[in-house]
Amino acid sequence: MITPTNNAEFFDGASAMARLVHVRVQDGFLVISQTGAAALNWPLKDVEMVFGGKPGQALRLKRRGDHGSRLTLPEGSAADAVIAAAPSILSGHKRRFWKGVGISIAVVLGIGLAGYATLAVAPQALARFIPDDVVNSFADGLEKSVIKSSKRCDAPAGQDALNKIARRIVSGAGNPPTFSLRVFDIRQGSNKKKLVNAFALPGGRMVFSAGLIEKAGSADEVAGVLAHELGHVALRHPEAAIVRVYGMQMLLSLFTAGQGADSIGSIAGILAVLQYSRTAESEADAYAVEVMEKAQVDPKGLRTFFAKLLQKKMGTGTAKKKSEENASLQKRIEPFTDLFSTHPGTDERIARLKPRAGGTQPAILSAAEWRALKAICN
Amino acid sequence: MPPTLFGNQSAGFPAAGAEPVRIEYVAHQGLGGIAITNFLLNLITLSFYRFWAKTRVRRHIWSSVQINGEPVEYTGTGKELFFGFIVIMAVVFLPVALIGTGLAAYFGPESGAVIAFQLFIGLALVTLYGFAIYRARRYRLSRTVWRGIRGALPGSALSYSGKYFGSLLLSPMTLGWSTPAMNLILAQHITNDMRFGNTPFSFSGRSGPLYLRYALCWFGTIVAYFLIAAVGIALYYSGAFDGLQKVFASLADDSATSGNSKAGEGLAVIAGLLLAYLSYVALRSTIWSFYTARELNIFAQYTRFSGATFEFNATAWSLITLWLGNMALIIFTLGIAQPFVEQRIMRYFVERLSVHGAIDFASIQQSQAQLDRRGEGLIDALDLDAF
Repeated sequence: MITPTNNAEFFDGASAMARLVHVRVQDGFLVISQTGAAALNWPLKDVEMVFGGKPGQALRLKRRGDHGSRLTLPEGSAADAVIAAAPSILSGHKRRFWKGVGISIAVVLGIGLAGYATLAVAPQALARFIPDDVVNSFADGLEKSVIKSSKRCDAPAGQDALNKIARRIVSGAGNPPTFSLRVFDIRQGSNKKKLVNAFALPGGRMVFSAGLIEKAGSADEVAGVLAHELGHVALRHPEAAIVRVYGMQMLLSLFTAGQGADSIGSIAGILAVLQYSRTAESEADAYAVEVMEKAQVDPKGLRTFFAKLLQKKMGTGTAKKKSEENASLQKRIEPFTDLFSTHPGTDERIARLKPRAGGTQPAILSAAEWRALKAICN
Repeated sequence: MPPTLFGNQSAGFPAAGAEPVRIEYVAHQGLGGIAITNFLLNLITLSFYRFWAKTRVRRHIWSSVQINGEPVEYTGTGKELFFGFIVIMAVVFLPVALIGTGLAAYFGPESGAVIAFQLFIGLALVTLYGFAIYRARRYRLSRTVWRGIRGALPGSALSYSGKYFGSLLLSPMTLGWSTPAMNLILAQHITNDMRFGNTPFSFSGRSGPLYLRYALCWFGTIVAYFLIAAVGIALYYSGAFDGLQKVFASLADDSATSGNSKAGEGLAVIAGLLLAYLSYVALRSTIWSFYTARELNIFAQYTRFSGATFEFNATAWSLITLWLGNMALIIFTLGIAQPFVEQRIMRYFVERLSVHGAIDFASIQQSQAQLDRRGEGLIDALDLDAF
């Protein structure tokens, strides 16, 4: 039997031989009849356009999931009938386009989320798993870049007084972390201005600047700062910063094929992320307040100290901004100008530090011990 | 091929049902829209749309190639390219990033361990170049369909990779003289592995005919180098350089507050060297176009498919204008016209290729080579994607 053709050309996907076939639409199927073989029935819902469909073009079709079979309908009644029965085949490429757009946008959002997790969530969770020697090697490098060649201030009587404050604060901590506390005469800039700051480095290494001791008006104030830094140590914020830096480096090296992203892993990079988030600062504040209350130390000390520094900051605000703008890159990654540049959100935090209710507190240091602490650099 | 008494055998006695082959590029509308939407989508997705962008361009360009009136079809998808990328990231680059980060954390960021590791990875990635090229070619062939039959490259990517790495090593060791022989070995390897359906391509020939042209280009490059050096020195002593210096000094005067002839001199030296370098690169590219044209033509001659032979009509000047046009397109459209660059390349190859003899297409059966579910991750990651 010879099947009539309507000049439709069919490739069966098994050989490159062209066959002339007859095509018609029937009951939701595309029926392809050919001489000497059984008719093929393609469900119309599975028919996809390969290309064509525009005036002057033949309509080229395939069946979804079929890698080889192809059907070419010349412009004319058969092609029109197929389009009339299943108009959606003309818009298949639009569906494909929007699918690609959707997936790629989803990927970018997903990577954004993963990046957020790497920088904001995972570091705190992973901080406890860093081996001690890794922590220490970081602490060594960070310490060097913070202290530089500053003079260590360790007059024995002054150090004793400092230790006494530390013991008092620790007495209020339920499960205190191990830490060390040292004072250095850290100065900054060409005019060798005394730095007023305190650092909690990885591994529980606390460093106070001599400027901070100098600026403090009472032992309560020093105790307050100590309690706050102890909060960072206890909550492993410095260790989390290490993980954050390496997470960033890893993400970067993933997208640069492992090359050229090691710059962040440098000490400068870690210094930059050692500026804790507001959340971390609030956590350390909350820890400090709790510890101070248990240790019977007036949290007002921390408050007055912050207030004092805030005034100073307001006073020099514009000049500081200008100098920051002029600062070189090197300067920008060494942001330790004063306590506030590393401890953001001060206004609200001061407001939150309420004086301790009721009762007088036993003094932390005697007048003589306080004088000794003030003279720790002599 | 030397003429024989019976002429070209396959062409002389075509099999029953064999047809002559006519290949042409029939441009159709739509590439401009693809170029613009691809550019915008790449922008807002931080280039993650590139897998789908590439696919759209290929679908368009492939379908513009018609063999005996039947368009070629690209059946790859953006998703396959994307998964190829993800797998390479997970299998190669994530472990590298993890180990590198771990080493930097443990031994310090500037330690010997980190540097050694980076050197090792750099070298290891170079050994993967050939692998990446072969796998990408395999993916593209398997996604190229004509008359319902797809291409295939079922050979071993690893053995190709070994030869490719060898060619990279030999080239500097022989001052480049291994290039024609090694290019021939690589072309032979990959062409002999290529299939359309179940029918193989074949490639055979010697690299000898390439060497005269190679030698001319090689010595031409050396002459060009000394020529530019000589012209530069002559200009320097003839005082033309002083003029350049004055121009830059006056420019420096305009921009800076105090006139500074030292700055002018420094800039003039840099500009002079840059000019010399650019003219050297331009001259070298021009010279080597003569070799590239020869190689393309000879390699086409060495290639056979079923009953057909190939002839390619590349010329140095056409390659140079192709390249200059592409550069201009990229530069003046800030890369938006990249799809048109690809179209120009495809068009160049299609329009200059002619197929002699006849092929019995009815005897070509579908490829039984397995279809990879993903593709091209490595070549994308290594940034080797030329086309």
